[in-house]
Amino acid sequence: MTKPTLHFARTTSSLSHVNTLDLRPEVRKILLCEGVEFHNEEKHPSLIIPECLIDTKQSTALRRYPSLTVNVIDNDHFNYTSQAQGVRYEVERTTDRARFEAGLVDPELFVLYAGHARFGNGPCFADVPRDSKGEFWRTGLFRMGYPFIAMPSNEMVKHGYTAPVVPATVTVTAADSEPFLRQKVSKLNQKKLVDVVGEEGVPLVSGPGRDDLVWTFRGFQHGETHDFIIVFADFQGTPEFPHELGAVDVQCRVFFHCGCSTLPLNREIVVDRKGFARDGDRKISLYTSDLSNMEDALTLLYHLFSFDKPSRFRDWGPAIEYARTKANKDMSAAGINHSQIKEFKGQAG
Amino acid sequence: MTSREEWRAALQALGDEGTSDDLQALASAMRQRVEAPGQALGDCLDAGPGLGQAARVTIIEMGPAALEGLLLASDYETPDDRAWFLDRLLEGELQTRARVRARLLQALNDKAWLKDAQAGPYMESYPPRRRVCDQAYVLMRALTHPEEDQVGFGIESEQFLHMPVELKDQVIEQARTVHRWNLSLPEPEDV
Repeated sequence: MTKPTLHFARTTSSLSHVNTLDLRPEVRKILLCEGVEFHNEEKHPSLIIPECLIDTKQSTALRRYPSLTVNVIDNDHFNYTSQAQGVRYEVERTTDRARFEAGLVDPELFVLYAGHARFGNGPCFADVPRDSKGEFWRTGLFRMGYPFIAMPSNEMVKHGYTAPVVPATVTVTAADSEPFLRQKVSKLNQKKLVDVVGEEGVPLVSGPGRDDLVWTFRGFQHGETHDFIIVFADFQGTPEFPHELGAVDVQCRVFFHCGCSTLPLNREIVVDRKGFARDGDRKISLYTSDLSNMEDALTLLYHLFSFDKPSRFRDWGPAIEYARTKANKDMSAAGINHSQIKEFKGQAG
Repeated sequence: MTSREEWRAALQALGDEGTSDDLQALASAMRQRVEAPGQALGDCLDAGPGLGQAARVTIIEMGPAALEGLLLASDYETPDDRAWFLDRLLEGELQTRARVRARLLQALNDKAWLKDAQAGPYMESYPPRRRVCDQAYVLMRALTHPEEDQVGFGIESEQFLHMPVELKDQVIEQARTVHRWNLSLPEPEDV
């Protein structure tokens, strides 16, 4: 077959169509949302973005890859142009929940949340130093959870915030419980609140009073036995706290929930219950299979940028899948404690 | 490169300074070396009484090592050849599984501790400390119960890893005795 010949022509203002060749890169915008305790300045040096992209030797996971020519605009903006892809990635960094919420509704945005998963409650935002205590652990949430989730009973005291503990008058069903709690639902006990959270914890509970019965169970944590409580965490239907997935018309192009174990804790909520289901290369959502230290976010970005096939104005899927599987290989090489990035359970690679 | 020493030297040359591209190139060269014999055998297994039979005998003698190359073979013309080929694929897989299983069973005696993740970068919560035998138990479960839901498997595995050492040892011993690796885990109330 004869190779097609490319003809160049000028477009005149009288034409209804455009026939000039546009060689500008496609611009893809990424909103990098840093949750509480995972702000850049608090991270381990081997995890800082974009520094570890610019100097890969700084990163444990990326040290064998070439550094990228990232253009830093200011503390919150950087971009990278991939000639091979024909794509310029423009990254905005934020620690602001309102910006995160606005990002979720933008159909052209790749929203990457890197931070705490809060036992499945959802992303959590606050501008406070690491190890701070306070109500921001509750008020800074963007709720993305099952109606009921389990937490260690000392959680509120440890972090100094008020938690909506589920009283024993409420029926807790397996279907409305996150997967860990689901396995315990048939074994739940009723105990007085004070006997579960202690006198210190009683003022940090909203709902049941000191001597009211609450649901509880015992479980193992790091070789020791702990009491667990159940809290309300529903992603929808909490008008007094509107920062929830249910209140947002999520339309973003890609959402990567890079917290701990978000595949079991949040995927079903986001995809099945909220209906943010993949449609071609739109409404793609990615999750972590296990505990994460945010190295997955760093490596995914690196490999997204370094994907070396034409992608300009084409399906985003191949670039995303390349980045996901390459990042997972990096995580696997790092050791057995490292999480994997998955779009759905059972996904290979 | 063909010998073990040559491959090791190639890897050592990359050592600390080898780039990701270098390592990928080495892996690719290794993979081609591994695949080639099985591919050659696969090319000939349908060649009739002389060459075909020689290929089949060699495939059987080679065992699972032929699998990588055989998996690249295109389909065969006759139903008999296709069925024989599938039979060998499964045999290779079963032999490999048996050997993996043997290594895992052996590792159930390895009580050495892995590094503590808390020594690494900050995390929201840290994975439970584990020994090689704990990891081997979880992997035995994955190997022998592939039908299990991935999320459920992950959660139960984590619960196992969080248990006190003495309890984990009991579960491992019980599993070894009854040859089941997805036994119900003891609850704190049971202890």
